[in-house]
Amino acid sequence: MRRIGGSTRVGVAAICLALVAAACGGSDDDTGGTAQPGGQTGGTVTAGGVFRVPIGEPAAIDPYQARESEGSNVTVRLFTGLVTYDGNAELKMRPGVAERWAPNADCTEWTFNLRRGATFTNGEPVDAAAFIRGWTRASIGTAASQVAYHLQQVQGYMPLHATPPTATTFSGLSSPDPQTLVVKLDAGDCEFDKQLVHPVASPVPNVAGAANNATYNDAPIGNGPFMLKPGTKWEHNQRISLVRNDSYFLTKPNLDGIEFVIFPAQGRLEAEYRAFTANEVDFARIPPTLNQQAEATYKPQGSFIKSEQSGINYILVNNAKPPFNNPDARKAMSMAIDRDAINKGVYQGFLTSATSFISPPFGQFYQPGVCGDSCKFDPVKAKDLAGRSGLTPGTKLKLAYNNDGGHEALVQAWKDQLEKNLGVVVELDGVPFAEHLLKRDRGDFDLSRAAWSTDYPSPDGFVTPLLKTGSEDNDGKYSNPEVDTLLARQKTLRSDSERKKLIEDIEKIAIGRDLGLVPTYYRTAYRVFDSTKWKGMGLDFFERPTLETVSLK
Amino acid sequence: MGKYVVRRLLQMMLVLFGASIILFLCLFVVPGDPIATSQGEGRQLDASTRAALERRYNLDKPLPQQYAGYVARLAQGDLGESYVYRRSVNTILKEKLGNTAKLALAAIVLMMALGIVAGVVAAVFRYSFLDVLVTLSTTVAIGVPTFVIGLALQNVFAINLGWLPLQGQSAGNRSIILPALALSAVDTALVSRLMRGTMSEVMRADYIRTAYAKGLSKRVVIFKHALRNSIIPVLTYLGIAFGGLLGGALITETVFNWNGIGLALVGAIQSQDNPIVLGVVTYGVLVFVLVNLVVDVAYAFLDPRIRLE
Repeated sequence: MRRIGGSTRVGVAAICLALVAAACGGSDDDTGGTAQPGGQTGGTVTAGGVFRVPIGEPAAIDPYQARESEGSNVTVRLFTGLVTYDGNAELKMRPGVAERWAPNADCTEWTFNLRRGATFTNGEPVDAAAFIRGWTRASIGTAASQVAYHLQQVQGYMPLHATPPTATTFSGLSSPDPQTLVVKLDAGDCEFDKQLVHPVASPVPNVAGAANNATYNDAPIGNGPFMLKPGTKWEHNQRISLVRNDSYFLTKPNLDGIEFVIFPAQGRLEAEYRAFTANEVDFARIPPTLNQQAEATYKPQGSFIKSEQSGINYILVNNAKPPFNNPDARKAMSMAIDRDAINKGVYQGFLTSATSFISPPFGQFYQPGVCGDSCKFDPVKAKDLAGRSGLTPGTKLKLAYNNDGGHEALVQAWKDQLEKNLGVVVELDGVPFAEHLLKRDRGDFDLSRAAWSTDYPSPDGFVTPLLKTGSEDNDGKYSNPEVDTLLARQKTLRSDSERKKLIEDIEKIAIGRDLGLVPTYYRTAYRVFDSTKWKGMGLDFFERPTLETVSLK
Repeated sequence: MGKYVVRRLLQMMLVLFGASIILFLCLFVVPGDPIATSQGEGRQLDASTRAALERRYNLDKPLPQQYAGYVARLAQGDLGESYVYRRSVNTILKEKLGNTAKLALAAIVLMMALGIVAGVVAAVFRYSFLDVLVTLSTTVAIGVPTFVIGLALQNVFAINLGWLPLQGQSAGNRSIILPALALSAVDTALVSRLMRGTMSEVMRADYIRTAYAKGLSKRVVIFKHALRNSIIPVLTYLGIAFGGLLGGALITETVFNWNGIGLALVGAIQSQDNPIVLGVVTYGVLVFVLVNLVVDVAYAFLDPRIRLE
């Protein structure tokens, strides 16, 4: 789960989710590397080609520290974990290295049965020990991993992760035999398996050594659909070249290889889009100011991708102090903002106004319109509600945002509309992202621009961190015992169909009734790709290009 | 002469020491939380990871001790480890120095080739069409910001004509042409103006008139007598420019995705990756001081009237 400071542009829609399904689902009958390249998309698929993808210089591609979109974009090609997921409307989990897995009755102990014969590209076996090795290597305090927290609910994480570590082994992990991994959790979590799609839960071979092994950091040996081109390593600030792993145990990708072309962070969006127009990369993000132009140029030829992403943009509201400790004041504020007008004015209409907190890619969990009238622009009703809830004209409000993400036009528009429609006085407080997070932690705001996305395909990644009383990411201090009870209960459910009802209830109460935080826009992503040469391109649940399904035309 | 060089080198140590204090104060004492910033987007660090990182980067010690540690490592040529990439700054700079030097060299060659020729032509044919053309084009080159020149070159030669690569270094020698042109534009213009000025002056000197009077051909007069005497300030200028270029070309390297020192600095400042900033700037100071010394010494060789004491 992560808070997002970047600008309001992201990721592709239903069409893409279908592609994702094909990209990431290892179907049950793929065993022992019998699959052929391109065996899954149906129709004729030409294997071959090297697809060029622009990225920024990753902080790391070694799974222990693949902590941002750049690094994980590479790491997920190099490693396949216990489970994979299917990006269809049900967000189903699919087998990875584990053929079968199941929790015990209270979901405190998980048993994974691993497939036989899977190997790393150097020939070492991918067995339970490889997972214990990888998880321990990432979690130990000396590794200082910034993503190891994804494993924090596994028993023994705390002593291992401490600085200095008070344990050197992961006490919650055991393997009765090489093909069985048993994971004990500190508390029951029936969705623990979903969290294992994060690259930090990858297996590593013996040669990986400790986290600070510079050789492995630059040329990780994995078990994924691709591997580093033999004889090469990460050429820092220039390129990372991958080739297809022909001994991959799930469906092999069609591409011969991927070339990640590394761009400088400064002016990156513009640079990668220009590189696309000069045919130096096959895929690119689009600078928001060029969305219209890109759509006009590339949509007719089928090179333009629009994708609804799972993240949400919202207004964080300080529920802990007046005036916004009153739900009516929160609703008044929300109704005084014209989402569609701002979308048109600031984003040329390239966003989608939100009517719920859980976004469309969550499929069955998505409840359009759950926010009700509160998310609709109605200045008259807003004024009326404001008057009755203490949000009187002249009230001073502090609107916090991070000033390094290009949000100035957005917060200025919010300020103008609140001042115009409610007569309040809004003070803008923009600081860099790290400092902004500290201010949010301290409660030094009335309103704040905020965005959220999750690292695992479950609505729990939204509701628990942001709505649970006392959660460290619940900066708005929303608290409702009724919601807390439901949140705790949905964690103990083993099936998504049962969970669906509870998630819906949670959203009905926390958003529909309480408006504990105020959804503004879904995160819609736009991309271009070279459709004259390639097909089968989309964005997955995590906004990554579906390089496992792309093929030559 | 030897004594002079030794004295200058000692002074250099002092300059470096002073620079290290100023830099350190700028980067480590000012408010801000580089560990948190280097985390980038996402959740805040947990206490244990933060403690591990502070320990790793010496940030858990009081400032004077941090500084002492930094100077002690610097004295051994160790620039520390990047907060963001967790790699040795020495390694990172090593990958980039060669690229920056290559680009600087290409730019200097262009400055000499284009700048000196244009300046000589303008001076020899004063007030001719060519002279006006040189004056005009140098005005444009000096007036237009480097990144605009860079983007224009990219648009014409990479996107529209498709003759040269847009960015990066994967196309061998063809990759360096556009960045070198963009980087050298301003200096080429200045060199040609300097050349034109000194050359015009020399052309009016008595010994040139004498040379003509002796019946020497125009070519011999221009290349043997005039050029030789007017080129000294130009060479000085080129020397100093080269020193500056070796310190990294922030804008050009960014526009053309040229993996050099300048690019490293831009990124590091943004992410508050202090060890990289310190490393690049310390290196820049060192190069600048050294090049100045070389230029001063060279000056004494070229102009016998100058004595170094």
